[in-house]
Amino acid sequence: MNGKRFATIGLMLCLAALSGCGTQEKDVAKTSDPTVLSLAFKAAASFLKPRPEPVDPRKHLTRQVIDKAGIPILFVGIDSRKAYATLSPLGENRGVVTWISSDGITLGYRGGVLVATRGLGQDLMAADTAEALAAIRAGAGTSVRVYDYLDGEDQPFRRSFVCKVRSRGREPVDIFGIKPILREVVEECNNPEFRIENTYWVSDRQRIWQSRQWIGPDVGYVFSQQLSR
Amino acid sequence: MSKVSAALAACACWALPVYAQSTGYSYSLYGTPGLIDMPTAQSAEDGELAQTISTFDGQARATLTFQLTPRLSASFRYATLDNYSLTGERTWDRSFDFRYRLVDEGRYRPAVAIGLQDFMGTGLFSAEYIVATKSIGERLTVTGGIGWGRLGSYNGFSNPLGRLNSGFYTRPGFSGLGGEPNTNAWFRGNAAFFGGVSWAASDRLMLKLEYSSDAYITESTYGLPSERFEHRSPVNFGLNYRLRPGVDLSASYLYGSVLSVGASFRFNPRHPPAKGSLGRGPVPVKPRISRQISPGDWGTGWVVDDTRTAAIENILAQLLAAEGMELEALELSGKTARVRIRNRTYEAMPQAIGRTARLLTQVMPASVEVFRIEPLVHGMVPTVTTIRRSDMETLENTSDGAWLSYARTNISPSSASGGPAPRPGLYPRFVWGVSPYLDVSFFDPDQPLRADFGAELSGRLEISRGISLSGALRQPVAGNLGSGRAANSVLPHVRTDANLYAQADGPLLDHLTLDYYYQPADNLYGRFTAGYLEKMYGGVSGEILWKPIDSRLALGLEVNYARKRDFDQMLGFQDYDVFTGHASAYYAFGNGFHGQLDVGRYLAGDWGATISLDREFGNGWKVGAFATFTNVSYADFGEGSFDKGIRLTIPVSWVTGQPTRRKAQATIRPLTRDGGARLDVNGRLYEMVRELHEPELRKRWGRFWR
Repeated sequence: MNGKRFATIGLMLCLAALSGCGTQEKDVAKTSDPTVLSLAFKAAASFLKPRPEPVDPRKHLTRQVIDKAGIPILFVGIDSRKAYATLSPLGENRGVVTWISSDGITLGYRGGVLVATRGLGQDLMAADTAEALAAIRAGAGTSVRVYDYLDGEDQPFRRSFVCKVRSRGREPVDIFGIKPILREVVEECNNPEFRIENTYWVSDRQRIWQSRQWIGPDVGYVFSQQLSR
Repeated sequence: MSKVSAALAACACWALPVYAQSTGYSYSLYGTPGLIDMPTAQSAEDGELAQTISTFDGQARATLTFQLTPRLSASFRYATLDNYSLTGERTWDRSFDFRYRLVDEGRYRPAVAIGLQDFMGTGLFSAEYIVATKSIGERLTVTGGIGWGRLGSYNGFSNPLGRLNSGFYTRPGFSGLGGEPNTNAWFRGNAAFFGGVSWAASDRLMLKLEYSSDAYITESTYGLPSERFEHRSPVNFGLNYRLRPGVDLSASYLYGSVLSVGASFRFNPRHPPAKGSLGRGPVPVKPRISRQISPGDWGTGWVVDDTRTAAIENILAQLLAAEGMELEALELSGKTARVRIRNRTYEAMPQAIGRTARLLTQVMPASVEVFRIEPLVHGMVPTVTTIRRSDMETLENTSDGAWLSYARTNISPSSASGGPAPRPGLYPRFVWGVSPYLDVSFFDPDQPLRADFGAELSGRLEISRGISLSGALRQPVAGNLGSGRAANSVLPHVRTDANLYAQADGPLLDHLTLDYYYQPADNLYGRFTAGYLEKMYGGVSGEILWKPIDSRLALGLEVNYARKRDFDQMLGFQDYDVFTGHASAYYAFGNGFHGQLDVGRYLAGDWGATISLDREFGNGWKVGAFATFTNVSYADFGEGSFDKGIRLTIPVSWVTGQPTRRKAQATIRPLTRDGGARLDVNGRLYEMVRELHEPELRKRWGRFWR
């Protein structure tokens, strides 16, 4: 009898507890879904398998392709997830445009300001950005913004920030051959827990062409760029 | 064996979340927040589950500790001790602890806790203590306490409690069959002081020094002299290293004679590894074109256009299917859409309701303002949620949208009968699957871990709404459950013949039942199940449940006739049969705790009651314990005295972040005996009804917009 066998017991307890190998699910009809055990195997396999390097879809895009696409295209990059994708609009409701990636992650923007994410883990459920949007468009001012999340028990909670907005200057930005002159607007937000900095590149006609905005402490920042004219 | 260990280790590592934020405490050799071998007054983070393994000198302890409330923690320990008897044999022991923090730490005041260690049963580790811990600065903690039992065995003094009652001066020895609380020994016998310090040298490394009041008397007495435990010094040194958040390694030098190593894995149901949902986002709300701009769209003439309504139904069914739900029935009027859905995907029912409501905005003509969404479970409709379409339009991206939408949703009971007819062609339907299975048995003294592994073919034929035929066939491939201990019970062998059942070569008919679910009257739900109910029993089972939609209380009655099946688990039966059943009361306390009381007759014909208490987390996690007391005497019951255990329910989506209704469920019994045993019928009513009732819907409404 040695410690190894005992370690096995402990791990087995842990495994049985976490994957339910010990008993079958009783109250839900079995369908063609895999069981918990095979899910555990799959997860273990994917854990061991090397992941392919993320591909930046912008490498395969040209201005011609974008212009011919017929739908608006938004490039999105989330560095913390090594996720880069092009999104297309799925719908619009009360000024919020929801964009979707091919793998089903959605982002909602109100006038270019991020107000919702879905499918990223600790998602931004909603955001009150009315003051923020006004200040960003003005290129200066202060605002209060409120972010809604769900905690680990699916209970809603919010984070509020006080933000200062300032402009950094204008310069042309190359977006696949078109070079709009954009003003860089920085929004610095603080609360006792976090200090975040959102950046927007805004045209004279108040279009937010690209931005780098905070989603939450877990996901970090999302960079997005409007590729369509 | 090593390959298995490696696979399990990989599996366990994957399963361990990367989240554990608590600092300032670590787990002792006993697997409770503490120093090295001594406890402290610290509590773990509320909800934390910690699995600790430690070993030294022929002893090993595996402990699962749960911080049940911010103040109360409970531990279950499985340990082995070499030389723990006159003959020097190895012994295996299960023990339970409780600790309650009486006083919170203040600026000058230490935290104070009272603890019962191994408080029932054979009491190998039995001790009681009152301990105080004060942190000084951010890195140093100082602990001092007084202990009884094991913790009063070194340098002990006459029990101060003896002044209250002279009975406290002597601690009686253990007698009986184990499993009963040893109340007559608590805080009795000599007492002794213990204490120590811990110092966080860095964020990862913690150094510990303690003075132990445990003399290790039994370990030093029994066995061959060369193998005995040597207690040379009461001072222990140790260190605890945080390998990564949630995983700690520990090493210590104990009693001037032995080295010990250990590890603790901790996680908290409140901190899911995925931190939320990684599944596909919902289809958003599609707003209507305003009546001023397009008045034609707002007419109700389309209702009589059968082609149009058929097209709506078709598209809705496809959209629902794409999101993992099924359209059971649709009833349209000019202003109202009544839909019955089956949620096959989302762990939280409000998530299925919210997604359905959003899909309805996509397909319904503008005149439809009211969505009546009725989720169906096994043909029953426990709730009707009525949602206004304009609320969907205005609240979709509104701050505080979850609460606002809950407040504006009308949640009402459905009437027992009627409703729209199922879509034509829906029944009969057949679903089936093949999957691996694993059956595990713990705590057999000859082989503490046994398991059988094999393949399972399962299928389900839904004949019409509420009526289905379901079954599973198993083929064991490998395992050692069959070589488990033979039954020695004086009661009918209603559960202890498990080894004989496991010896069957297969194929095994795991279950094959005809199930019927219905709603006999308002607030009432019924189930009738007949056939091969479970591995060991066949028969008939009937159940009725009373559960008003907004009631925290539910009452149920279940009556079964069960006959013991042949060991080969095919179609034959044995001679033993029994009428068994229970009256049950269920109560949701509303603070995350849920209680259940079942009173009735058990499989061995014994009469009694089972009491269960679960802590339920908002994300579907449950951690609970149960105990059954029947008119079987402790002597007839045998080792353990009465049936008891702990149970865990873990939504698979909590681990993976992907939407699935799969749950991992584990019931861990220190011993499975024949007294207080219940029939294991599939699909009992309460869990399926209550997830569509209050307070569950409210608790999980945050997922409405997910």
